[in-house]
Amino acid sequence: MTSDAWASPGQMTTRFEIAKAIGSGNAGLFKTDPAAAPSAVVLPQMATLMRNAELQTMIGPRTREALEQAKTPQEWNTFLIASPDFMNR
Amino acid sequence: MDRRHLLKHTLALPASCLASRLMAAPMAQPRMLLVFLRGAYDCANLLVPYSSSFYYESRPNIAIARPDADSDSPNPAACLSLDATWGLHPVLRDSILPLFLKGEVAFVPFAGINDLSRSHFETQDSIELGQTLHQQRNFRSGFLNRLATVLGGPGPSRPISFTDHLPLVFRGHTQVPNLALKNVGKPGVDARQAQIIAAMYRDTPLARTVSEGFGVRDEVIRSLSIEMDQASRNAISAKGFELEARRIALLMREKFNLGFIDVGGWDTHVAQGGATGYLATRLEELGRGLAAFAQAMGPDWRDTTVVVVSEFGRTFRENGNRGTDHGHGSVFWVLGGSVKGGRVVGEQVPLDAAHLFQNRDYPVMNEYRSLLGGLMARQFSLSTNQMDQVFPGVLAQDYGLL
Repeated sequence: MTSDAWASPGQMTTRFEIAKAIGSGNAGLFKTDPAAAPSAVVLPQMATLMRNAELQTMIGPRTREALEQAKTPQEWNTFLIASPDFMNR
Repeated sequence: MDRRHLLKHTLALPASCLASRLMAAPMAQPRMLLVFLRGAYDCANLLVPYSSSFYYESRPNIAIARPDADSDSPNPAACLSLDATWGLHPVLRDSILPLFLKGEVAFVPFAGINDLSRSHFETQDSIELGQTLHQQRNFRSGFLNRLATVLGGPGPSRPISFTDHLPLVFRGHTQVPNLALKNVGKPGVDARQAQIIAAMYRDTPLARTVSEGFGVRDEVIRSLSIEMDQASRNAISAKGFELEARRIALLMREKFNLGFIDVGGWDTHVAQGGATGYLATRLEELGRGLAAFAQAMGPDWRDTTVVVVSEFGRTFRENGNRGTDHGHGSVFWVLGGSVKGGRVVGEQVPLDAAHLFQNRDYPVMNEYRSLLGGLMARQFSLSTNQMDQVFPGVLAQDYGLL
């Protein structure tokens, strides 16, 4: 499969919607106990990953600019998952 | 800047102002929508060859009855006579039949592609690529994309695919946005976030794709909010394909001149039904949607042509499960405000055992590229040279439909 099979405008928009669903915890991916209330689910603080120096070098300057504009941890996660660094292998 | 340059710019100014005003002026723009019935629909129960007794022998359980001459209490399960040979499935009585009688619909039987794989995927690919068969295929060049490229040359052209994925038919040189209209809701990613995300892609090869994706999404939501206003006023709630078709019309009236949508669920191997049943329901929904599209296009229907295609036909004889299997020739539909319709056109043969292809299917006598090519050439006033870029090596044939 080549990139033009998945990188159409509509599919990119869908990817960003999914990035937001994952990043903000709405997708319910982080529930360890299925019975737990949504509020009890701990959202991964991906921002803490950035303390890792190696990871920092993997992120481009544009992405860093975007991450600096995040207002909440949810948004931070969303931008990271939606970043070009995350799109390409 | 020196005076000479200043003068040159000043002199150039009025001309460029004029040009941009001309570009912005509303104009009657030719439009085309391609509807792809994926799964190969059973054309012999859409366009019923009712004059053929062989049809009734071949389909003891699923045939559609001959037209009923008794006008006082007509048989509701009988096909609707279009001419001395062909009848229309009765579920299309209120949707497609009125358009046919107005001369805005034509059917082209024995249409299709010469690909003989009888595989859905293989044949859909072949159709969408529209390249010479049995040669090295270029999977990055679909024929609607090549058409968009040709149309994009001198004038403004806006293609769009109303699908979740960008289909093969629209892949290629020209960037084509895609957006499915089944469930358009409020997006999760808001305007500020969209802007920040788009900024991350500014210097990447995906920059245009990303901004186009957000742009089309916003445009569509803006257009459809008008639809919601109108809908609440006249309280019509359409669903399924009809809703999609109305939305497509709204967008094609205002913004786009070349569209594509696919409709699935036609692979009726088992219990397809006759005058009622599974296939009848699918055809009814499709017919209602296309009629809604025609209506919703309003005065622009005059400049619009819709072509309905499918990858291949189905076996002429019913199988042991009261269904039909993969066949060859199909029936294409051509609809539009300027279509010279109300007739069944193209090369035809009588439907008896001797004329079936490989003793099982409709033959292909109207090759789809020459048919579509002829329609495109008329619709968009394209030269032979331009058509050769869309369908290389194919002589576009004028069926006199436009």
